[in-house]
Amino acid sequence: MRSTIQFGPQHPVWIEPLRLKLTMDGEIVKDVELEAGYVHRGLEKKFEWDYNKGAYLSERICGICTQHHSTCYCLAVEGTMKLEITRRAAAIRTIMLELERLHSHLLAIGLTLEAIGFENLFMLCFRNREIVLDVFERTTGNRVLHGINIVGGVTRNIGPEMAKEIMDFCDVMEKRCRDLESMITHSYTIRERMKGVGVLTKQVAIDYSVVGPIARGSGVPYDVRIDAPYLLYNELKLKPIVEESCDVWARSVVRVRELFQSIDLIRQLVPLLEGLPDELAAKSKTLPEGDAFARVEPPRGELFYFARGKKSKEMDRIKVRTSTYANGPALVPVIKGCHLADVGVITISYDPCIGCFDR
Amino acid sequence: MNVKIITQPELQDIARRLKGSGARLITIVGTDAGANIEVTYFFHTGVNKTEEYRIIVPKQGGNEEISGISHIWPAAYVAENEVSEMFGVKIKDVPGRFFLHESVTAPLRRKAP
Amino acid sequence: MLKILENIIRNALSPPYTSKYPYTPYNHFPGTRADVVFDGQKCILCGLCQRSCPADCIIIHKGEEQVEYLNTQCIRCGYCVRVCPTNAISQNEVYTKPSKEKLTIFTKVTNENAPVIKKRKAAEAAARSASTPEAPGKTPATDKNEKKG
Repeated sequence: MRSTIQFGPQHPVWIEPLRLKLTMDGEIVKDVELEAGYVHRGLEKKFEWDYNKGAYLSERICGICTQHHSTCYCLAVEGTMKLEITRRAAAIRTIMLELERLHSHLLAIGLTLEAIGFENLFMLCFRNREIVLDVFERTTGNRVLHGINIVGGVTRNIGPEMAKEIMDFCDVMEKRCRDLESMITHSYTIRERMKGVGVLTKQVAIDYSVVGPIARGSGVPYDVRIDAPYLLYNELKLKPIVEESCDVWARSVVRVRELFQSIDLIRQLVPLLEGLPDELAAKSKTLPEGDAFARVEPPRGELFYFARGKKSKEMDRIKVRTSTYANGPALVPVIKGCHLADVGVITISYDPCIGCFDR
Repeated sequence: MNVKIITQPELQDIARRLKGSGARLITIVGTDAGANIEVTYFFHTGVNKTEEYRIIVPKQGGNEEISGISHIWPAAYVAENEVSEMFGVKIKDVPGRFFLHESVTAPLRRKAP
Repeated sequence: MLKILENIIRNALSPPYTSKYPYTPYNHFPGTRADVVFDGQKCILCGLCQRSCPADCIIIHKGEEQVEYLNTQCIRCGYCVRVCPTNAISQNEVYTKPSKEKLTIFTKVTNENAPVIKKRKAAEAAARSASTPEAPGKTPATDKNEKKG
């Protein structure tokens, strides 16, 4: 006999409201229905205002991938105006994007460990995250919601002393991340809890067009930094990180290995700043006109912005498609057939950001 | 970006052909262009290669139905629901609502001045 | 397993990682973007900051020569600091403490070079010299020379 359990909008496992209506048969889930829209703010209508002020609005869509949202908005609007940015501005934007990937992956790993009950390692991940936020406060002025991206370039510079401090920070961060990695991958309890849970096979992943660490944990090597490079990524050496076992354990290992890839990329990027002239922002002589789109790779997946201008200071249409928007329908085939105690762990391993989903 | 404007039967053939060749669907975007509504489909087909297809739906025709591609691409479910509820366009085989409450109708459609 | 044990023992024997926040104040790094401060000696009442604020929290009153700033609505983005032509706006490193009422700050503008103030003082000088009829050829010329310097 079937009963219905509401994994309701408020739940202690996840941070933002999302509703799953589960139809149960004993302990196994038979059917699931997804409902969202609890945090819908109507931002796509508000974006039809002054295009300079839109950069401050786009970074407030999500608090954890904020630098990627404002960079993608600036790239899309600069595409409609056919504006080229200086090389120093592109290098500073790329360094900020890789720092953002560090702190977001530490938060995602910490939340997955808290969902299985290991609260001590969750606190340790957040203690490592504090030194990344200190670097942000010294370069941009704020811990989150940085506000240094404008249409045409950046507003703050990274001088030679700050560049040396970032290289020292990389050494400290690598030592702490190695300790964290050995605690997670050599632990018997964490591995047995996460292996074999929430399997998303490779064929289903290709059918549903999933993005991000969820695709890379299921054997699909899709990474926007390699398939459609932007900013300075075509000059750096990087390879996609792919795991084959398609479960919660594979997605967590992908995130841990991407931490070291980001530290390596920052070490390649900081020497590129020397010797460049000090121009940060380029002024444009035309107004936005026509269609353009831009894609970047935030820590959660692929982000896509579409912009259309109408030859005035106000934009005509901006469309935002985030990574949870693409991965949301792929929750349904994975949760069907699993135990009730695993629903929380599977959803948190997808790294949902409902503020990005609803806008 | 160069956009190809196509009709509805052609869209079903193109969607089937791209699904067989291993492309991926990026998203579906609806825009309001004065006298009619445009629905644009974005596909990623290779390294640095994307294709865009556009359908034109006139506003005065009384909300005619267009057939969706959710039976070929399961990833298009949320995007088609959003185009349908924000612009008032009826799409077959999908319920019309995902984000908004029932009392709100077509907020992104521009009113004639 | 051994790594976790070593971590536990090291944490048990070291001092706490957190500080007692309300009793010891938190030192922000130099360059933090906190409260916005207006300087009445440099402002020329042009209105560029009001047009560029994304949160609509600056209101210029040209009649009373004041700048009204709604502190609780400000998002501390720093756009007004960049567009001001005379560098009259700056950001310090002290955040406003939480309280129960909304905070609004009025700043009086006393810059003699602002066009609004120049016009008002020239009109007052003209009205004054027209009402006192002693040496009408000399007084208006000396008054105008004082105001230009």
